[in-house]
Amino acid sequence: MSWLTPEVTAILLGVVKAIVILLVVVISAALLSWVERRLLGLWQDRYGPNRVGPFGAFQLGADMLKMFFKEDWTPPFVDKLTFWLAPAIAMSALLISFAIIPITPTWGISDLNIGILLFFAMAGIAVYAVMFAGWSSNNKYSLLGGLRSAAQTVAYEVFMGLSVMGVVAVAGSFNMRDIVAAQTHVWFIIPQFFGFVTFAIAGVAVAHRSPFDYPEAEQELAAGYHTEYSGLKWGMFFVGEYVGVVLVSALLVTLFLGGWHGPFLPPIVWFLLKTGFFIMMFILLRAALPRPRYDQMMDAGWKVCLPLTLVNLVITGAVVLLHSGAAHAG
Amino acid sequence: MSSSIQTVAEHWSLAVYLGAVGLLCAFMLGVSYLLGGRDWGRAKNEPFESGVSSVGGARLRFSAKFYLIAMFFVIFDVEALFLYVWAVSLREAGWTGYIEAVVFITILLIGLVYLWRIGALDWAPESRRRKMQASKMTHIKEAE
Repeated sequence: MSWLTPEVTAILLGVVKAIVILLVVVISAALLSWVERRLLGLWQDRYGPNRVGPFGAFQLGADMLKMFFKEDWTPPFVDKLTFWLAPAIAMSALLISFAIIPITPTWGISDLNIGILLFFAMAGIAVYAVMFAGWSSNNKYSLLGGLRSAAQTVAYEVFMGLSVMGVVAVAGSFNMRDIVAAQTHVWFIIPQFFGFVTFAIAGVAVAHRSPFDYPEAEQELAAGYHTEYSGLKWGMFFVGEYVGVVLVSALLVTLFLGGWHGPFLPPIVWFLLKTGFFIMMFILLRAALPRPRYDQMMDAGWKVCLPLTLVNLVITGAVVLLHSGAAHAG
Repeated sequence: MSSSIQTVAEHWSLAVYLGAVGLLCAFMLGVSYLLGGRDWGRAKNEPFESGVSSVGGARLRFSAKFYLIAMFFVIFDVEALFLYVWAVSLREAGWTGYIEAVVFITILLIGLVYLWRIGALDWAPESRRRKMQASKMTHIKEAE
């Protein structure tokens, strides 16, 4: 075994970890389609899917088999290239952002020093998925859904970046492992509470989850930007949405709830518990809240959240500088 | 030495991860193209608009509000980028940098308040807002 140098072993280990993380994320995102329907059923006093397997647990397999054999219909009036590109972007953009999430001290794909900026870049690209899908479908409902979504995502991305900058200022780094390490004593949800609230709101809007699901408001727009999609292409939008839910939950945990830190239990259990908690919150939001009017949603973004994040950043900067100045003097 | 091995391993795992995501997308697009059924229907070649026959194309003119939002995004997001750089170098920049950033943020907020006051952030058209204002006034008068 002369070729098995320490370098090769390290590379192989890293590659295997990357593949395992990818599979776990995709499978848990797909499984969420069943979890969400069961939970919504519970909260709305009905059963939800309960026919396939015990408690309907095999529903995912049945759904997948069905979608594999559905007709993959590309209507003749669409713009072919963007029509095919849109689901691929929807699925991959947010999936790629998982590369920066440190799951435990030893698990994680890459320890990039641009860290959180990669997520902002990918969230920016994810807008193209909805824009391309809405425009290429050549359908009025799709176009309306795509435009609404672009305006909404863009309005909420402005302050999404700024809401995290308080955390970056305290940790002094974009790197996610440094941010987690800075939370050994106090989780950032306490000093950066407004940052947490605004980032959570922006995260729901970027993942297009209810109550910010204007792009596909089914009562008004048939199905919004994916009206003309069928089969697994539609399935990719669907899985992409759940990947967004998992990703935003994992980011909230990493940035504001101390990542893997916690007493008694091993790091991986803490990370999964916290992430699971936020995923449940996403589903509970959908079950509990009605969709606000579009102009109210835009007002909340521009007139409340954006000034709030700016003021939060100013105060955080002053506190951090005062603190470090006192440390120097002492 | 061990840290350089670590870096190389991380680059490999990132590259493989990106490749695997690409493969997964290609697989999902390809498998449904290969396995999916084929069928023919009379109304299948029309856009789905909840059963109403489609009139005209979907290349429509849109409310200028959407374009305004896009412009505000460019203005505010590009300015937010400067604040990203300031936030990460907060301690190095010190109080001098802090005062400059506060001036910058103040100008940003003044710009936002200006847009707010001229009604650029209002989604409803002005005529409708005036009507709502008038109806509110009559309600108050009736109450009196």
